[in-house]
Amino acid sequence: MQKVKFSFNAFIMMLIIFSIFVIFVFFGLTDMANIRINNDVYEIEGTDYSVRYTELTPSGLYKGKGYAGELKVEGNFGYDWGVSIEDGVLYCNEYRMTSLGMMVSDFVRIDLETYEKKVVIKNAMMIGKCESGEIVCLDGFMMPSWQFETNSLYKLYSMSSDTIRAEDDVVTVRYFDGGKTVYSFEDSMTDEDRIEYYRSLDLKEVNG
Amino acid sequence: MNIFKKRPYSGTKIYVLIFQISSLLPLIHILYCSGFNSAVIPRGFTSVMFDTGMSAVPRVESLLLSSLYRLTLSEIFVYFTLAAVAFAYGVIMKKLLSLKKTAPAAKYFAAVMICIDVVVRALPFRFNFVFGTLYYVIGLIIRLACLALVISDIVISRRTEK
Repeated sequence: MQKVKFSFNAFIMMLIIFSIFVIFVFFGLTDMANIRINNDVYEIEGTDYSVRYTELTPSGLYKGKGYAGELKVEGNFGYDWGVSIEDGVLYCNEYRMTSLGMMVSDFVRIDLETYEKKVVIKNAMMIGKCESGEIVCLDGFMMPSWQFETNSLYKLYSMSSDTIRAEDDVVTVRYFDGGKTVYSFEDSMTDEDRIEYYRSLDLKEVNG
Repeated sequence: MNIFKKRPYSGTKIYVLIFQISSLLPLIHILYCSGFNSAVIPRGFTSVMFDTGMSAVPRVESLLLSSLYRLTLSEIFVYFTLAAVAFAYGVIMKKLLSLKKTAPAAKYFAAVMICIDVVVRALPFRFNFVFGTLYYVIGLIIRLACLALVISDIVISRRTEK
């Protein structure tokens, strides 16, 4: 009988095959990382539009109230931090989920005439409007509960990004008016109260 | 004590083994995360393994993996890329080191690659410190140890030739 030498390369090969079984077959079937909301509709105040999160029909921006609306733009749009409509353009967050459930958001604009979606800033989050009415957006920001120091995958995600400065929690706070940045500054996101501070600013006072 | 003594396992082979083990360390965390939602996993042993492994693999590789991750939004893709690179590097280096003609070139290639990596690590770029200063130091020590192993192997080979 021939003696077979078990090398480290053979071990890696076996690991790859084992992983295909574990990840694709077992976890794929049980879908443990899935936390999607099954069927929810959020109506956008003062408009005929609603944002829908669903697995039954595509998630996205629907025209019409309730569950009877017509799909206009597909995507996981956020209503939690508010939306803004300026000159027939809707500004909101669009959430993207990684295969294991880590969420990232982009600040997007949707033209309500042509229903064309455009990413304004990648890896950014709109947090509402400030006192003087400008849209406040955090550039280089990720979800508050998934902070850098606790999540290794987030560290890897931010490694090649030039906007996410996760290691010192610094974000660029941008104020938008008419789709353009009118004021911006860098700040350290030490706590969630800072979000209230960004929204409380009045740009007329700030700019003198 | 002569550090250039002929050993059963050459320095370059140990370096390849260290490279492969470093590539496999982050896989434990990804595999662990695949059973849960990765966003809600608290920091633990697997996270430490992930940070150590990612700090020990060449910076260019971890940067490319990060770009791939941001592009595909898939941890599974990162997982299989890491495993495939470890496997491919191991197989290619084993083949090159086993042939008399290619072995010296393979050793010089490994030494040059590690030197480039050490230079990249020495530059004050933000991506070098993403995993923290402690992991930066651990990664640098591992890479310098690899460089010492490969250089000692080259020296041994040259002495043996003479």
